[in-house]
Parts: sequence; structure tokens; C-alpha cells
Amino acid sequence: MSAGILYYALGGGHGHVLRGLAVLSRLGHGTLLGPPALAPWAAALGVAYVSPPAAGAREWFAACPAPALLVVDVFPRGVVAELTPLLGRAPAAWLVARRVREDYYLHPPVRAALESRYERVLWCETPPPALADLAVGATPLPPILLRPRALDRAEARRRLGVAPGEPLILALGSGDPEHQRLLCRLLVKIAGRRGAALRFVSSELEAAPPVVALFPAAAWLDAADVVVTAAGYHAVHETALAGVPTVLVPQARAYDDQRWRAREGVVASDPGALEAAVARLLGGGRRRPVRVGDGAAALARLIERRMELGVLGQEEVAPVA
Amino acid sequence: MGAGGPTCITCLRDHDDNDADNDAADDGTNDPYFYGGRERAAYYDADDYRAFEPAPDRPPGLETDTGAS
Repeated sequence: MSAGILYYALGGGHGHVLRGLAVLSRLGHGTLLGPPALAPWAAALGVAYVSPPAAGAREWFAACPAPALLVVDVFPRGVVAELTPLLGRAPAAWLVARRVREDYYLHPPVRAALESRYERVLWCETPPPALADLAVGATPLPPILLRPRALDRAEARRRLGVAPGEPLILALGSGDPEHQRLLCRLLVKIAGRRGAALRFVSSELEAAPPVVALFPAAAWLDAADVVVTAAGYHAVHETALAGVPTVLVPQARAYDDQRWRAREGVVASDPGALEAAVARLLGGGRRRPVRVGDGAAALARLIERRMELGVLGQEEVAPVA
Repeated sequence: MGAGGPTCITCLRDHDDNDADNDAADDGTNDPYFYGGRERAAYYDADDYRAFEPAPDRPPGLETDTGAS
């Protein structure tokens, strides 16, 4: 493992790893630390990737060479748990944070670790107001997304086996596999009643129709007439960027506030609402794509400058705010 | 969304349901989507509702939770 940049993304969900891949693929070096199951994503992008052993992670971190800059993505395991031995030895640590429930960062041991061990928090979503008082440098960034080259709509639909002119419901599965299976089952019925094709993107369910394994899923969004997805970080920001009509089904998460993230979207919280929303959006045309800066590129530049200068002055940070 | 919060498609649907009910009465269609109450509720089974999770409680185990965040 390189002793340069280490990006810690052992959060359990996909978002941590996707942000790490977005940053390191732009940076062109560094090592991503993530769960073994997502290693193929890193391989597809040519990003160095390591996973600690399932048993003995704390010992593994204790023996891990200290990186010049440790970048930690959101999660408490990386703030106050297994990463603690490495945090004590790394010359500098940054925290990449999306929107989180404020009681997470204000939990006394978490707050103490943030304020004593971290040089900077990089907010890639608006933090709750109560976190403005944290005694640590804060830098707002645009969304940190992979932004893969989008497939042409006709080509993407052809590769998905969707007939020209056939409406396509593209669902992005995430979270608990059983919930994914139930949502897929419901969408099969809805698609049948609406005369639409369904493709359900999942890394967890068996890839048999209508389930498909696509990475990165963002490249395929233009194929869809409507997207159905949880209100996770990437799904919300990527569908907004693509301008594809989207129904959000927020999921319960311990720390992520998907209800907050879905606040400006079309939200469905029961089967009837989902079917009504799908039917409405299938006939509603595209929405205006959101224009936002490239947060991954901005963070990669900040990391480069931090490595060159040894410290970041306000003049380095201000332009990305 | 308006200033009042997220767009709730169920709320939006009420207005359209009235229109749709009239349309259905006019043309004789029998699409369950356009009908509220018990007819629409019976259109979905228990597993369909299980696909929607309840709101979370306070986060347990801040230091050691290893599930998706």
C-alpha cells in the first residue's frame, strides 16, 4: 500500500467507495480502503484498493504504514473506532462528510475526535446548522460524484434490450437485499400494468431479468424514462445532474438523512404512491438537469495542494467554497 | 417542491383522482390506479408494503455499528 494518500471508505454502503473512487480516479494516485465486495469497481477504474481482514481489523490498522494524508469518508468506524490507531500516527487527516444526522457528529466522543484529530472537514452536502460550531476547519464542496461518460440513450437502451419507443423504468437497488427484492417484485407488477420495460440495477441480487449489474450506473441514466431509487447520496445527485425524471423511495439509515435529501424530489412512501408517481412521470418528459461543479475534481486539487504545500491557506480553500 | 416540503405524490393524486374518476365514469374503464379506498388498498399485497421501510429510531452503537450508513 502506498504511503501517500489513503482514502478510508469502509462505511458499509456504496456511497463511501464511490466518493473515494471519484476523488482518487481524478487524483491519479492514492489507495482506497473499502469492503472486499466492491473491489471490482476499483479495478474497473484502475484505482488501487485494499481491504482489511474480516477479523483483526484493529490490529491490521495498527500495523498499517501511516499515509501522508488520511482522508476519511463519513463513518464512525473511521472516526472513533478501528481507525483510531492510524489516526494517531498520520501527519494529517481530512474528513469528507455528506449530510449526516447532527446527533452523530455531536455525540461527545465523535465530536472530540473530530475536533482533535482532524485538520479539515470537507462538506459535500450542506451540513445541519447545529454543526457550524464544530471547532475544525470546514470547506464546502460541490457533490463528489464519479461523473462517468454517459452512454448515448439509444445505445444504452439497445444494450439493455429495450425496444425503441418502449417506456423504460430503471430502478437503482441499494441497501438491504430483501428490501431490494421486494421493491423489484412490486416494480415488475407496476411495469406490467403500465406497459413499460423494467431494469433493476443491483450489485446484491442475482443478475437475472429484470435485474442487471451495471457499473457505474450513472452512465446508463439517459436510457430511462423514469428512475426509481432510494434517496442515497449518489442516486439523488446523479439523477438531478442527468435530468431524468425520478421517484425517490427514502430508506431508513442510522446516520444518513434520506428524507432531507429527498425534500425537493418526488417522494413515494407506499405502493400506491409509487405506482402513481411512475405513471405520472412516464408521461411527463425530462426535467432540467442541475448544473453543479465537480466536487471530486475540486477535492483532488485541494489534496494535491495540501501535499505540495504541507498546509492549506484560506486562499487555497476559498475558491471551491 | 414548494416551500411546504417534499412533493407527496399521494397528496397530488387526490386532485387527479377526481378528474380520473370522472373520466373513468365517462369511458367505462376500470383501472385500479384511479380508484381510492379499499379497492386500491387491495390492489397491493403485504410484501408490496414491506418494500417501504419505517422511519429509523435513534442510532444505536455509534462507535461500533458496521451496517450501511
